[in-house]
Amino acid sequence: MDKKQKTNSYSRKDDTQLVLDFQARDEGAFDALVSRYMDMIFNLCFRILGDYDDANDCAQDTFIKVYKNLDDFRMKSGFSTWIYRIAVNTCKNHLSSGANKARRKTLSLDANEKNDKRVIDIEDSSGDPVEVFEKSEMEKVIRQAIESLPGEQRILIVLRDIEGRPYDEISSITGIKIGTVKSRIARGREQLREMLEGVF
Amino acid sequence: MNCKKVKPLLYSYVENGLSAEEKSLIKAHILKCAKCKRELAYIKKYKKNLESLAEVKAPKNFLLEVRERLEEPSPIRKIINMIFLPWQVKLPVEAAGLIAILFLVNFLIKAPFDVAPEYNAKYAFEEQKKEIPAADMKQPELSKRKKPKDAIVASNKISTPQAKSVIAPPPAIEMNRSSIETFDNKILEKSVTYEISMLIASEPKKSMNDEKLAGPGKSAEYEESKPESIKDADRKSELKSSAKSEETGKKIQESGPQPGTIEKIKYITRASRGRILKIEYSKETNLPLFVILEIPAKNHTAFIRKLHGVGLFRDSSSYAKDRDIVILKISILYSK
Repeated sequence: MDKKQKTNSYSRKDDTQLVLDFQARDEGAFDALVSRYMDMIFNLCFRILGDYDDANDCAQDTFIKVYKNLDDFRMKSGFSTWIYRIAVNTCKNHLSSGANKARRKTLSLDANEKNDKRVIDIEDSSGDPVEVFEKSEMEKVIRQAIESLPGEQRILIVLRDIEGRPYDEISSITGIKIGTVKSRIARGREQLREMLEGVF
Repeated sequence: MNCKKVKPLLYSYVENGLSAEEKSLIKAHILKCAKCKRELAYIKKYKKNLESLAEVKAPKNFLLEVRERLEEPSPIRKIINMIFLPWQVKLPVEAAGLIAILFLVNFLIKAPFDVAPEYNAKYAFEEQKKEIPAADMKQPELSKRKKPKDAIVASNKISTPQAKSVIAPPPAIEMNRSSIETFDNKILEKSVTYEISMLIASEPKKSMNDEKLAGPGKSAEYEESKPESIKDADRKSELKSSAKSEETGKKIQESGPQPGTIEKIKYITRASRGRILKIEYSKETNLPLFVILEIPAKNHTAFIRKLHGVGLFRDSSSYAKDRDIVILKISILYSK
């Protein structure tokens, strides 16, 4: 079986099978899981942290933790919920770390421009340059508004309003009760409204 | 339904999270309430914009970077690898470190310690040697047990290299504790006894110098020398190097030592910063049998030199130079 065929065979397998294959010492199964989830996890980390390099570090940390603990994964919850949980906790730790706090104090405009440039580089299907520019400016404002939220609220807003996760899954990912999840999300939305009402 | 109840449900209304009944009630309220209508419009835009945010993709080499990090040793493993370096690297490094530490320790502990007493005594003696005038270099060699006539020979050995060793201490002495019964043990412990047997002439005193001039085997007539003082004794030792001295013959028959012999010994002892410890007299003749005295080791040579002026050395034990104080026992013998 050549490499392409092998890749295709992995892509047909669901998460559970890939986990079982990995636990049976198939390293290719782990590579398949990484390929499947790397964009989702990277995007989640970027939305929470607001910085491309930080998101890359946290995303890599997430998959390294997955690799080290995958042998003990008993699939009580879905693999996506499990990996999201790891990613969210990794981002939480990064947000609360001293290095991150110092970096955020000296965050320069250049860094924001660098992040925006990367966003613009993402392929946009609209085609109209004006629309692309307006869209990128809107995204910049939204991203900055989300970054201004406290860490806990920011994660919940990202999971609910950007990722579209249901409340019960968010509760499972974060380990917070559903009622508390809803109240914190409502509080976060109120704060975002004050910043975004004149923009939309 | 009023605004207070409707407002919290608007997000769920947009997300289709309400029942059909709740939906219809909210819809009816919105038609009548402009404020809630504006709120609903905002919520719809908010949801639309956030959900349409472009997905940020991971870097293309993301999987490769993850693999590289997985193959990288952990920080603990790195430390272990550093500690347990290959022996080819570790041994030279540790050897260099050990040598450096030894140098440092050696440098630090090389303090100016007090010189050992033996060292002091040795160099004190050496200094003493330097101070002695050239004339005194002609002392008989006391390191060997010589008979009286040897003293003459010894005095002729001035130019030999051994002459220098004349100043060297006499042969090692033997501890003779039994003869110092009354002494304090403390003194005995810190001193070494040095024994001399002196021949005190009962006839006119024979000076060392006279004997030399007379030469071995010759009988000499001696003239009684001038009353001898300690200063004369010193002067006499200086005259030993002179080629001539007058010989006078006059026999003085005496049954005992010259008057003042003990006094001379006492004086020499005091001059050498020593002290008389004991004088033993014969019960029968009431003549002094021996004198025990102590002097500083550094003054020993000068003391012996002066003592030669008092009488003839018959025998002496060897001298141990590793003490600060010397205790001498001078046994007095009487010539007929």
